[in-house]
Amino acid sequence: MSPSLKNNVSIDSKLLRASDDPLETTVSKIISSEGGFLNLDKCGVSLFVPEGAIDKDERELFSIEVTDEEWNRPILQEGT
Amino acid sequence: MKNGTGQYYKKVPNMNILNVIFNRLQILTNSLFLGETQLTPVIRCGIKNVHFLKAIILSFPHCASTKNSSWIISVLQKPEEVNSGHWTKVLTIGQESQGVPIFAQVDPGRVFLACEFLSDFVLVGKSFSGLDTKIIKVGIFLSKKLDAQESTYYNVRICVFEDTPYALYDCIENERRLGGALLCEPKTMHFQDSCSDLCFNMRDIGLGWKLTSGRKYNEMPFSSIWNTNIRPTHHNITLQQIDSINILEFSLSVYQKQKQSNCVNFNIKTNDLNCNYDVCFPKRLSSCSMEKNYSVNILENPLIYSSLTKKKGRYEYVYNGGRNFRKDNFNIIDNNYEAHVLGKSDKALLCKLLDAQTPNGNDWRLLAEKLKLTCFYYYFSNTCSPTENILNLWLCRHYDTNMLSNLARIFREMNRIDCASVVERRC
Repeated sequence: MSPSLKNNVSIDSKLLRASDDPLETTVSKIISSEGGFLNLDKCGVSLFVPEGAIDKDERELFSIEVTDEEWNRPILQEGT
Repeated sequence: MKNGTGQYYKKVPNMNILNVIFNRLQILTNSLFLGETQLTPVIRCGIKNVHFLKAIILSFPHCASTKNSSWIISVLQKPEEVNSGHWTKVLTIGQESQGVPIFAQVDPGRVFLACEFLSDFVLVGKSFSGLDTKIIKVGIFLSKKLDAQESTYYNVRICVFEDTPYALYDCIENERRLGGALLCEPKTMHFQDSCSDLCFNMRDIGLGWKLTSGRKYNEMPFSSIWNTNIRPTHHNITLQQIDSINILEFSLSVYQKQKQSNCVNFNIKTNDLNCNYDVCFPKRLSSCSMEKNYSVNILENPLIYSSLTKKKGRYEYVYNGGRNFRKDNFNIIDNNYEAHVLGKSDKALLCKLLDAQTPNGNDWRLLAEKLKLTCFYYYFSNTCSPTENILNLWLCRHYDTNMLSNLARIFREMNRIDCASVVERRC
């Protein structure tokens, strides 16, 4: 008997429930010369702005977005 | 038409035609990346067209298998905010030269970019030996198909996608919109650049079920996976329920034709498909699915169970499946990050101590080497403070409770007791 038949166990549908929250694919934040970071937890993407990357007294709106739209993908050719 | 100086000039052509020509030219430009494959989703970053005073660090997951690899990895950049497929190669790792504008560190499962500007980025790679593998995931989805007749049909969709968290969630979302439920957690597989196709072999379909469309054995062309811009990468099988047996059982093997040792096996046995309706799926999706909401609890081989859990801001992917074993810790900097970081004055002191090159080389260059950075010299030597940028990168790569004591140990190994004592004060 294969191990799969011996050890049938119900897996809870954790992954399905995890995806009940809409997937966050974009985040933006105003960051000053103090620095800061942006995170897209589910996608595992992060941006770290170190202190002093921006001029003193200035603030910039940073954003990160994960996309995979076909029109935006680089076109790669077959072959080696 | 004549202009003021009496010379003839052409009437400006219709902008649409110009755009068409422009796009065609760009497709030609993009096609130059011969044999390369996309290793990450596209990461769009803003703000663009600003030059920062220090390197910003962007990190994201990739799906290249980095063990004993010969990957030639490049970073593509989208120069401006234009809605076209125009990408330029900004860096090829290992081929850096003086004045390179960006640094890339490819760790297992994750890439870190350091640069003083932001753009849209994507990582592509070409296998030098032709033997490198891309980590893909295979997921099986089940959806119910109601027929005018009395019998019930189920659609089994086998989806193949890159092993990045985004691709996983994207696939689950898309399938859910089609009414599909994930039958078990997707499994990882090493897909080799050997031009051999991906084979699906469905076996042992349980009693009471009949295959009505789609073949038990099928092949997915190599290029549809390697060149991910060709879609869709899924395979459909329809099963008809011909008896009152509500438990669906089948086995599926997925392998590359010329590399069957990379085989991934699924042994699926669902519980009663009829008694689990309206539990799991959120109500708002009910209009999208063909059938009313239902959930499928899966009985599967626990030995190949994999999980996705989040612990203290960090994702852990645990694969217990024999040779597929892989564990990635995605260190995500959380709100408490300052507790683990060097203070402003300590950092400034370290920069002062390490930026100055020493005759025996135990300065920032050795630090970068000890931190296992590859091909770092050209980029960092050209920045205001190499040490500061390297320490920022260290923070992103090694965000951990032991990070400071590990750094102190590295300084001691470098024979830089002065630097070690700066860090040890904070431990």
